[in-house]
Amino acid sequence: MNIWIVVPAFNEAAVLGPVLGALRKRCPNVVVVDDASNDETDQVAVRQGVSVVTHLINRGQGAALKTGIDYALSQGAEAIVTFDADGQHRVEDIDALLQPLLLGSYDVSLGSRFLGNAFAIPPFRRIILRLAVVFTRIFSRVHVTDTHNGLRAFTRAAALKIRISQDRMEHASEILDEITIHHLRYREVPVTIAYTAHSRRKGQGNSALFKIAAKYLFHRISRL
Amino acid sequence: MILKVAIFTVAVLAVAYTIRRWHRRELSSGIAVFWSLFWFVVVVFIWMPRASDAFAARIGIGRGIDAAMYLGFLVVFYLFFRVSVKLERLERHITRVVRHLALKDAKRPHPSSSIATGQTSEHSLHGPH
Repeated sequence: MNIWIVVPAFNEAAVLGPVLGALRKRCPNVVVVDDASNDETDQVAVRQGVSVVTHLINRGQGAALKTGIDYALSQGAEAIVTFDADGQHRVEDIDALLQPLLLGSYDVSLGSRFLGNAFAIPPFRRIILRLAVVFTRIFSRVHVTDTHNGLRAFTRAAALKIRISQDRMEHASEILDEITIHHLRYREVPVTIAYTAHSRRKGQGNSALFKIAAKYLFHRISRL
Repeated sequence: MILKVAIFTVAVLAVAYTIRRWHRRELSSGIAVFWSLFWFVVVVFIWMPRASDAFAARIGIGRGIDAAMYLGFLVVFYLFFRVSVKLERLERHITRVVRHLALKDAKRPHPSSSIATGQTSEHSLHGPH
């Protein structure tokens, strides 16, 4: 099966090399979407021998993800895995993520740190993410245990249906909306998320999640 | 009295400006009518305060000035919402252009790249056996 791994990246030159090295050992088809980084993210990716697509202007992780998915689809991808560039995800989880899709039983696999492991997760972040689960059950009507996990897998058919119009972090909620809208079969898979000093420094602050919720609700209202 | 005259003058100038922009096709008819009516209402309320009080009483608010304030807030919030929606649309259009350019200039790895230790299908992800 033609499997592609999409890695959206913004200023991840410090950690991207080892991430891509590990990914390439498991799958030859990797595309990094450099979201107008200020550092050498694109050069690190080129040196690692992966496909690189570069945004001229920073548009956000959602936009980078959609660009990467479009690229993978143009290369004939039959399944697409999304993988974070900051070293939080484990390459070993990819097989488990793809298994439900390869068996033909599901259209989308969603990684869940709460079914798996979340090493060194800040306590308040855990609470915020639990609140996000409740929020998602109300607004997206999707029952998941981890709403903002970048480790996901889609079949080609699902990737073609899912519309990601939210450029920033609200895309995570939008993907869950799309699963409901298109009646896609989804399954959560236990994965490991390792919070490192780098990812905590770079990641969204806890208050940002409230802003994400507000922007998501605004998007929903404006679509009425 | 001075305030009434000043506001009347501003209203006349604003309507004249609106009509000029509409005439140059820089403003749609709908928007031109909206702003012309807006300034007309402002002038009526300033010069005939009892009319505004009567209107306020009809919609269940005590004073004309209070009604004007509430309606003004409603209009401002609605316009703010419209502008926000337009900004969101603009951001999406920018993203589409950026994406189009990015995909057009995608860099593909050199066929001889050996980062994956030259392994082929043994180390590709397998489907079920």
